[in-house]
Amino acid sequence: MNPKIRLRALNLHAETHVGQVGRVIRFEDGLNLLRADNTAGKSTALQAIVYALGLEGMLSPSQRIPLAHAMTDSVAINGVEGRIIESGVELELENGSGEIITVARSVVSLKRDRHLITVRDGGGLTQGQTGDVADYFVRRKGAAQNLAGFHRFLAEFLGLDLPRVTRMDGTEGPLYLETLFPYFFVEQKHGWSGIQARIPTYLGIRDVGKRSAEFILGLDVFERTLQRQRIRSNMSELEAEWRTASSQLSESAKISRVVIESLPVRVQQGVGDDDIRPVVAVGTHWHPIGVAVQAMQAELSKLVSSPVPTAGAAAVGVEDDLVHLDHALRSSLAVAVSLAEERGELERYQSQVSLRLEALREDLQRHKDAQVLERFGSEHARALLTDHICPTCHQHLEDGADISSHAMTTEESIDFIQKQISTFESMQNDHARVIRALAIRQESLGIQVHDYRDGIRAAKETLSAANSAPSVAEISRRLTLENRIAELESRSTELSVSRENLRGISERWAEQRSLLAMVERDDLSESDVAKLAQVQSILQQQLHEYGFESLDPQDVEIDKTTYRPVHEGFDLGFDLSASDMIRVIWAYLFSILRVGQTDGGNHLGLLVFDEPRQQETAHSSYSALLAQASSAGLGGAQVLFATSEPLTSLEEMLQGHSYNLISLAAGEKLLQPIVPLEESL
Amino acid sequence: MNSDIESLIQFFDEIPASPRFTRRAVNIPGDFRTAWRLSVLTMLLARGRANALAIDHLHVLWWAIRTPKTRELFLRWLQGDKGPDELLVRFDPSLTVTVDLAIGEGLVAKETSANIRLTAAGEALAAEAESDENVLRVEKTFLESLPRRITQRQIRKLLEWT
Repeated sequence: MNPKIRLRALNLHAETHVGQVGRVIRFEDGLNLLRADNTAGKSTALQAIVYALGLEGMLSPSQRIPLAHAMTDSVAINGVEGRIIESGVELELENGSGEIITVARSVVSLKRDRHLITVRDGGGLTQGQTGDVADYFVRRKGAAQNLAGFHRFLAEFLGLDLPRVTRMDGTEGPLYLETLFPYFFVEQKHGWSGIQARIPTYLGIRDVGKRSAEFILGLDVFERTLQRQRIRSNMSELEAEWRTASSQLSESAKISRVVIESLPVRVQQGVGDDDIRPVVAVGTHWHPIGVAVQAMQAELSKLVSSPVPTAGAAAVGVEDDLVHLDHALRSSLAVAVSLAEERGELERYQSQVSLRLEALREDLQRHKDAQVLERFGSEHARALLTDHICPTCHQHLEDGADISSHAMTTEESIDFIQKQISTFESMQNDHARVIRALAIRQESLGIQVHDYRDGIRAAKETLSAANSAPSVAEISRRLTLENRIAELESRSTELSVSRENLRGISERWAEQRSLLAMVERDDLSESDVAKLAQVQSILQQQLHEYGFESLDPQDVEIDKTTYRPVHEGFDLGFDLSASDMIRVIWAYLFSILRVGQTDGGNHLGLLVFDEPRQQETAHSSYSALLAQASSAGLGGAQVLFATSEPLTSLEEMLQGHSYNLISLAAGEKLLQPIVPLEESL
Repeated sequence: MNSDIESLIQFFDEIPASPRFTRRAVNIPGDFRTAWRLSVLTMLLARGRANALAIDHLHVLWWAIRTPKTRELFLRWLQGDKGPDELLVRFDPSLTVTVDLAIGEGLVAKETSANIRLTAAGEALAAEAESDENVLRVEKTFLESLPRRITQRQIRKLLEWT
């Protein structure tokens, strides 16, 4: 299997007032060793690879350049210290389909922004040839997603289809390259401190370690997790659709003074046969819309069947009506006034609650800011921010000591305020709901008042008309009834369409839910189990070869949920000697490499170790490691070692293996003076 | 009142368990967090000429930045919309404490009796707080909406109510 990446050459260069320094390092396939004494610049070379790829975010969230001062500040040239005016790194690399590019990034420069990476087609370092040139940005928002983002370009170039994963806040984002590289690169400072290289959590990806391991190993469970996320987002879209449709339904009902009974509030409830019943008030009773229309039609046909009575004939009945209507109007108006008062009061409450919420949210933000700021400031004001010690009197000094001797911690405050906010929010929701209900009542009362007034006017006209004239009250009642029937009929059709729409949404939602139930299982597929078993067996075998002593290698297992090496269910680490710890790291990363390169896996086929023998591991272990690294069993993977092992001992250990050794002489520095062309001529 | 206490005493005498009181921590406003105070202080000073501000100038900004109401009042006042009846700058003792602490921590230094200046460490803290766009958003928005220079005369005018 072809590795997805091959490093071909690395160039570091720096220009100072007293001259230029630099070095080009060429890498071969398989095992590469960079051997030099301590402080000669090995780590700088390896970090330059990370820097050239814009991946320093895997080491820390800080924007500082992760390179030694020889690249950033000043460097000695022939014994003279020269201040760096301009410096940069270049890296030539090849992808799985044999395409070659050269990337360049400035370290110190007045002309070039550090957030720009220049990509040239072709081998700029080994073949001197260059094709098209393009600039991409890196370590800025969007670098993994925008077209002009370098990590988007790099992932594409390496043939990695970076999936979208859930972030801490529930949204989706890409799985970043920074979270994968700890499986490919073990740096000297922190890389050897734990079995699992630290995977950056500040990028805000949920279960980031698990997701990265699953992606690299190409586990099915990863796909299943993604599918689950997709279904969840479908479901939330349907939920939003439901909310819109159901509020439209209520709105359009409200216009015709129709009330919807048993309207399911949430899509989960589904739409039963008996749900969503539009009802209308006829007199003092509520009837289903169909029944109401029928009753009105019956009343209308009764009215129509007899001729319109004259004013004189109707007078007695109309007088009674007038008294009745007058009374109804008065009481409706009284109710309307009290409703308006109630609503006004609620709205005042509502605005007070909103003000309070605004203040609480700002305060919450301040506490949250304080958390972040404490981290920033701990470098500049450690005593106050981290140790809580007064810089002058050296006594204990907590936050807010000027107002309380017993203040909550920042976390407690955040928790406390969040609870307050949620209380106030539910108050706000309650108020909003009641205000909405009041508004509907006010509106329908308004229409009622209008109807009463019409009736009163018609009655008065009838009473004041000549006795032989037709009764205006009667005619008006007929017209009102006709209008109302027509309106309710058309509304009824409209409502049943909305009802079907809601039913459709809830059915689609239920389908998604049953799909979700199918992929809900978190267990591994058969092929996943097989892959993890393979990781485990390679791990055990290598532990054996490296002379792992703390435990029986057969007792070290790969945990099925964390994918890390464990012993009797506990993470390895506490009970290991320092050198065994290193053996586990070697073995683990090699076993991930081997399995991650097989089908579906996304291992890049690259392993970089900075000082893998840092803890003075036994000679025999080390030579077993080198044998492993140079063996053909790696599927063409490239392995890079930086080491300070003496040359003779290295050569002895590597006997019979193929390798590429770049060895610096005693006292030689990685960065060497470069004689400018014109001077050398 | 007395009978209340008596009945409480009686109550505790009767029950077999002895009451135990635990002191509960109280919530403090976010602007009393040292991290917030030091960061905002350095950010305010960083806006002054040569990283320094007169103490009364600082008091005014400190007062203004803390609540939505004061931020709005101050901005309106700067735009010439003056309502002296509602503009009441309060000299906040928390600023004095904050400046003292910052001096002790080496973030700021007293230049003359009435001038506070950022030190290199203070400058670094201000820069760091400034660099993360996710923190102190409200405060930064406010600072950005202030005019580039607020003169000492303006400040005096504000404090003297004329």
